Amino acid sequence: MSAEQRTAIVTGAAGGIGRELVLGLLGGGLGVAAVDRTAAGLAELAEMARQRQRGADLLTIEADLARDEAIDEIVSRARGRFGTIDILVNNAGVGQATLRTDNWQRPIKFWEVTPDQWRLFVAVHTTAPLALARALVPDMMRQRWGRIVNVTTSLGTMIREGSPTYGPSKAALEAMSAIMAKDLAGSGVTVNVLVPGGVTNTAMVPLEAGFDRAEMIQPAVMAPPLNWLVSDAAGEVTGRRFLAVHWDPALPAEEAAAKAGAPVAWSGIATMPIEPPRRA
Amino acid sequence: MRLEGKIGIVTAAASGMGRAGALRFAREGAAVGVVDLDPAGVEAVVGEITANGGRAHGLVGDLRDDDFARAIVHRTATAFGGLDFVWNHVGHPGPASVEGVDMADFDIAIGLNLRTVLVTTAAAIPELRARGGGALLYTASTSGLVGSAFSPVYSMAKFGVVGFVRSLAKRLAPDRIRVNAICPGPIDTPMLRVFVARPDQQGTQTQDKEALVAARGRQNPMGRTGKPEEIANAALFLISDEASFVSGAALPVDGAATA
Repeated sequence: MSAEQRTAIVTGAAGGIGRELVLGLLGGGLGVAAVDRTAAGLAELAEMARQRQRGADLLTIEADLARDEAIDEIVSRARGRFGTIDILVNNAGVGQATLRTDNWQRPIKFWEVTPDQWRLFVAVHTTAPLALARALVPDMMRQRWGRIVNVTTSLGTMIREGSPTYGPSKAALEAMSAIMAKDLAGSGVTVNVLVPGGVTNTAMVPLEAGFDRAEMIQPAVMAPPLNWLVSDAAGEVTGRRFLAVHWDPALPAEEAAAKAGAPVAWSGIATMPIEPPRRA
Repeated sequence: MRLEGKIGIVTAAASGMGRAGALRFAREGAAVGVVDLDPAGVEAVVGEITANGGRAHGLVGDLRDDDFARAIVHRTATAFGGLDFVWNHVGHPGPASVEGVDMADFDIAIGLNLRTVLVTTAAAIPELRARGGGALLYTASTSGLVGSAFSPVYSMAKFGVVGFVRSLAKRLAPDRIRVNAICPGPIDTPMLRVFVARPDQQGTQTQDKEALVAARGRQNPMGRTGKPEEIANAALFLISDEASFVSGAALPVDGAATA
């Protein structure tokens, strides 16, 4: 175990998945800057951390990732509290149902989406993760240790009917994750995707959707794989995607990871583009 | 370092040709997943590799368990960050009999020679694609090129391996994955003692196995059995980028026996 405390920024920290990720990292002894749009949610999260005797290692940051200015504010406040940031968890998500509350019963069609609505999803799901990574990666590379974990969504959800803004904007983050991993190969900074693996019991899926909440994937499954990904033991693991629902915490971490992991994005099924040889 | 930066798996790597391959690949810079049923053997090979500054990872289990045959792929890819090659060396001599054959012996021969390599291959292909290509190598045999009077069932399986390799090479070429087979003649390994005197082979059970091995060597044009390292040398070439235009080949390494 490192003598120095590792620190993380987690976005979407007050949501169902976000709070499990934050509390899991705090439980592992890390310092966490928790970013979310909702002050009330962050206050609840801070209270939960205090109940676990981990309040002192949590910094809450209220910010709206749709605003470009938010990025600098988040990074400077997090650095001010913790110094160099070692880990970035891009978890924030805008639910498809924010465009239409009964979207599960009446799925929205792509032609009903306005360009401004599309831009909001891209801002939170793709632009903000890229901007945060850009701000933090130079320090991570300098110290030859870093972790970027992007929470996208199931490959099926990326192309599901009724998901015309959520799906494609998360798919963009998945493709970005694949390229980030390649750009950072050998640098000590790893980039991976972590997703629940299906419909998860959070506020993003309203009660009206009609699921038995106990049969949904529970957000707590996300914490064990994240804790492993940010550890020293996963230092060579990069460019992969993990489905938390297949992570068996009873197994040794490497076996759990082998069962839950696959190459990131669609790199395992995509044929290479035909390319003529290039002259030197 | 002919395998610099490469990550791969060698099955049946605790002894003989597989062990020779694992050690050589690691010396050439590869990170190697060392797979076998024998825990002490795997530990010894992994230990020898790491003692010499190489990277290796032991995976002990029975490849007849489909979950294990797949897990070796995922665990190696997870541990080392991807997968570039697999040497499917696992195999089995099979029964000598045809009339009166014990079908349980047939199942074992087909299972170890064909089923296990298919399961591992299916798991490995997406991982190799994700790395932009790679190399799959299979151990067939001279008995996969010409008929073996000693074991028609063994030839059935090893001709199958060669057929699979030729077919898969054509399918996976657009993915920049090369697929080849190595066809050893008689190689001086512990397993050769089984090949010269299969349990159900008439007339060999009372003979001295070493004498049978020596006789098999004398029958070879080069007058000897081959060494595990000579197979590993050929496997290294086929797996390395030096063989970038070699795919669908079944390379005899047999002292001119099948020439």
